[in-house]
Amino acid sequence: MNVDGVEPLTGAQQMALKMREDAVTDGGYPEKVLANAPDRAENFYSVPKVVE
Amino acid sequence: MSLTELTIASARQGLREKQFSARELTEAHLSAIEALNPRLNAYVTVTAERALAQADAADAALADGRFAPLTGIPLAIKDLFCTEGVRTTAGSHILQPFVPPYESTVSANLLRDGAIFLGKANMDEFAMGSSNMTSAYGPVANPWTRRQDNAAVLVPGGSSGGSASAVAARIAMGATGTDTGGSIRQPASFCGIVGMKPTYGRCSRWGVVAFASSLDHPGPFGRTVEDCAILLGSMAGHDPKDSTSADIAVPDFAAACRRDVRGLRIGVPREYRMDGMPEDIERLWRQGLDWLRDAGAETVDVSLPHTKYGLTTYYIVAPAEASSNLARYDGVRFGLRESGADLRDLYERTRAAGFGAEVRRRVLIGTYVLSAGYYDAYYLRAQKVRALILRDFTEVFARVDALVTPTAPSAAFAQGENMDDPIKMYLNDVFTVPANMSGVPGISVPAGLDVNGLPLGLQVLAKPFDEETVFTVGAALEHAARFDALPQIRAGF
Repeated sequence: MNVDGVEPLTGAQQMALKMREDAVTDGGYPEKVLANAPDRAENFYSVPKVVE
Repeated sequence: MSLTELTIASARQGLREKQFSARELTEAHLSAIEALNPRLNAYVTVTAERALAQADAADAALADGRFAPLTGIPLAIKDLFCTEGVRTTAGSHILQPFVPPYESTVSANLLRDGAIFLGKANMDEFAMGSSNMTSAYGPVANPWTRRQDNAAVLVPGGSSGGSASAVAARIAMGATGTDTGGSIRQPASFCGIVGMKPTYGRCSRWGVVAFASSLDHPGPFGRTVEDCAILLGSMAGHDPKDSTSADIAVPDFAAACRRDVRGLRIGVPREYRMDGMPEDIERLWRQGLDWLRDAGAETVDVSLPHTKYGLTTYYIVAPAEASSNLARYDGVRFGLRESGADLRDLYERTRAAGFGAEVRRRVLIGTYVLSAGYYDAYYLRAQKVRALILRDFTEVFARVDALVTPTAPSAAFAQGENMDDPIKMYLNDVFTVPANMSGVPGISVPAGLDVNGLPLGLQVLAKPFDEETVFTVGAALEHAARFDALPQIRAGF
């Protein structure tokens, strides 16, 4: 089929995205954020050593 | 009448008039779950204690005369919606240990309006499937069986198979689902209930585990069109946490169910006639159009010429977005972790152990179509075709108010059927996928039975943000069809 000159459609909706204040709106609860961590060290996720 | 037989609308009335309490209503559903869930596997998690606590809170509110739209109504929540403090698996082994520390916007809206959550509904893994056979927690049984062969266990459709099975079997009054390619409408058709996919942007996706973000639509299941309208009224609304959520007022959807169809123009798309489609479905479609004409609507033949490219482009766009979305499951921050010799090994082992075959297939397809050498040939081209599919709808909705089509090209099939060939399985969504590609709202309404005594649905589509017309036409079909057949497996039987 011919799609010459057709603009690709990225989403189902053609609305302009809303702007919002560039501000922190959430956070400050590391325990909640890390509650599902398979492995952690203090307030960090831990993984096998990456840098030798 | 048993409490599990009530519609949401009538239960709401009964609760307000103190004919029964929210606790009685919830207990009736919990004991029905206990009796039937071992057979249906519609719930992966039942939250009985929480539900009873919510019921007591609802009874206290009712005693004070505080009525929210869903006060005391017990629902099932698809296990794709994050629920604070309640395990959310997305039907996948990789999320088996995941307990969200937050509540999805849609489920929070339902709780705000007084709903009671009975538990989390089973589903195809990451919503990828049309039969519920891909769940890591086992398949779901459809409560309907074939008249001549009641030993064969049928699928409920998918991906929201647990939600549809639960509502049909009367072990939930309503449920949430999500529809990425037909995952609400097709199971609603297979289970003889109503399933509604609103316009893209109507319901927030925040807190819903993502499959294909530009195609995912949360929506309700109910046993009547009005019940779906009531549920959608609570689920919908603007949410700043989802940048694609529409800042558009939520109308009174239930009021739209009471409008009549006189003067409405109903389009009949000629491309929705498929080779090999059972005669029962053709006949039911003609019947549905007759009903609407009898009610005063006008039917018009229309064409959506790019319909035939819907499925092929869907199976490029959806896996592409899925491969990108599912990259987050790496065993580091949440979910399953398989230990490895180094970080890369940990990623590989975790993903190999955590994802099932269908998810792996789609991640591979998606990665391929997004890869440097193939991006233009597949992904970009599919997005262009997607623009043409939307154009088809835009043009046709300049001439008609709604479209009426069959929901699916078949009735429910048996577990094990259609499993050998993924393409055959994908064909289930041929009539539902275009509404996801274009974002237009749609509903499936049970309208009749096939030769085996299985339910068949008709689909109504309308223009973006005109859910009201979807409900009006859906209610007219429901009224004319007088669908009163009951599944063989249901609460009390």
